[in-house]
Amino acid sequence: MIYIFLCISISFAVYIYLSPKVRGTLKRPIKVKKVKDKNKSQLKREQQLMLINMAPKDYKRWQVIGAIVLLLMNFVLTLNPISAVIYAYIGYLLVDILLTLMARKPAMILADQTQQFISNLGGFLNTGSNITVAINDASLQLREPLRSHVRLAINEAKGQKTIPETIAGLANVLYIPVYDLLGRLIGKGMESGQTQISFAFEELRIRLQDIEKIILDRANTVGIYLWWLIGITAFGPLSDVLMRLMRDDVFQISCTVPAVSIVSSVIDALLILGIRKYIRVYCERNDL
Amino acid sequence: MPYGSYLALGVSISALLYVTVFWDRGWAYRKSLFDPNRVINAKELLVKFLALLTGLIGNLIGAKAKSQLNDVGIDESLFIKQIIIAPLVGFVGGMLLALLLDVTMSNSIWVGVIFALIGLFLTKISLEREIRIYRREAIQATPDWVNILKINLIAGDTVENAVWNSIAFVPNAIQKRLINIKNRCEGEMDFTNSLKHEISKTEESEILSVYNQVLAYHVAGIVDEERPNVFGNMSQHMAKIYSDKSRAAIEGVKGPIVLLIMVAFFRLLVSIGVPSLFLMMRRLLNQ
Repeated sequence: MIYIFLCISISFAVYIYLSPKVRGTLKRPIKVKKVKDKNKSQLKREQQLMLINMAPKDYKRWQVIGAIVLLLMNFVLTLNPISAVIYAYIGYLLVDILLTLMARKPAMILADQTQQFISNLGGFLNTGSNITVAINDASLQLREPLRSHVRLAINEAKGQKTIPETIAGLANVLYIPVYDLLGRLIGKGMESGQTQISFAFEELRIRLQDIEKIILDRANTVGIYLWWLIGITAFGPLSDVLMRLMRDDVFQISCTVPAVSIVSSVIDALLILGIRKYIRVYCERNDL
Repeated sequence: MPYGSYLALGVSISALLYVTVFWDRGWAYRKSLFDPNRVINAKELLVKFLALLTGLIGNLIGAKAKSQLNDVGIDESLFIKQIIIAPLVGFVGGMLLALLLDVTMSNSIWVGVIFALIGLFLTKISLEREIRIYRREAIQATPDWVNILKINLIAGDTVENAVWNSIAFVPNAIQKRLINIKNRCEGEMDFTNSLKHEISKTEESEILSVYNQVLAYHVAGIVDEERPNVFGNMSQHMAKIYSDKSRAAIEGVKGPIVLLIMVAFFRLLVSIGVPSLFLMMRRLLNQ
């Protein structure tokens, strides 16, 4: 039964592959390739690389280095090629996790400074100053790294662009979507007068504060469990090394039974995948 | 090998011989020039058959699922392909699994059928998951959308223009609904009717309340003295509800992490416990 099925399917496939192409000379409609939009995760990675000043090429190189290092480490220990390949994947993931953790603090600083900028802007508008003057004054009260970005945006507005456009353009530079809304608000304020629009900055500040509160709550609750998980997971590969040094007789048995090292490396990969997911939750900040 | 497979082999070899030796290419070329829709190539025949099948399934999935797919932003042909491929993969995979486990042929077909049904079920679940994410995104974005509407109205826009101006600043989940309203507005309906049509379609209470408020403002108009107080404290209340919800959702994260910690302990058991158990057994047997 199964031989018939296989024979028919294989011969049909060969027949389709070899059947004559008569219409090669006739014109056919040209297929236009679609340009894919970037994923959310790709955008996030770009932002993280921007925050720690690293080129995407370098990041890929570090990932390959991490994969090779863990592959060699595991192969020297267990002499099992399958578990070594799985460990190479783990090294690939570890660089990703490190990047996420490294980009956390700069992102927090940028978000805090954005909040400060918006509240300063609202304050200057409430005292009755002109909206362009208020933006200038609020930017002068900022510190690095946001200060240079905002000053550059204000200076760009002396050319062909207007201030709302350049402030909205910061959303593409810093990957913080609040600036899109901020540029819109400034534009509206220039049309209708700052006294009518100053409430909007106040509300934006309150909303950002709420979001910051949620982010801190989440990081605190997830963090406690996460560090326990990371500690116990790290003890797994460490135990292999310790056993190799202290109790070699036990370790040699795990080398003779290859299923042990393969199963443990698969579980390690699973755990690292879980850690990456919850590290992302830990570092996530859903902006406006 | 049974006789059926000899027959199939003979037929396929004779077909190959016919195609390679006796095929009149000039005749086929002339035919294709005069009647371009005529199918001569087997590859084209297969493509035509697949197009027929996708059209048939596309008619079967119904109007509601189609509108949902359009909302979520999944390509319809991609979903139909998934409907075809997932059960096929399930069937073949299940049969191979059963054959590997030495199940008889007739039973392995039933295993394949069960796996195919699981594949179909998974496609349905994946669509529902996408819809849930889409709705959650829309509900998350409503407070900010209300804020933008409020700003536009205070700055002096009409209600209709305030809605149109907000389109560029809301996330994808709300943007699509607003573009639907606008498209209907430009063709056959006025703003009130197209908004009412959208209200009849929406199910989320948060977005529904905003629609109703916008409709009320559009029908009754806004007096200039009331403009600063437009929408009241709607966005703050919504934001507070959202923050409470997200605080409750944090609790749900703890469970999976604790489960992962248990898996980590299991890994230690495998890497330390199993070899030491082996060693103990060996020493016992040696004694």
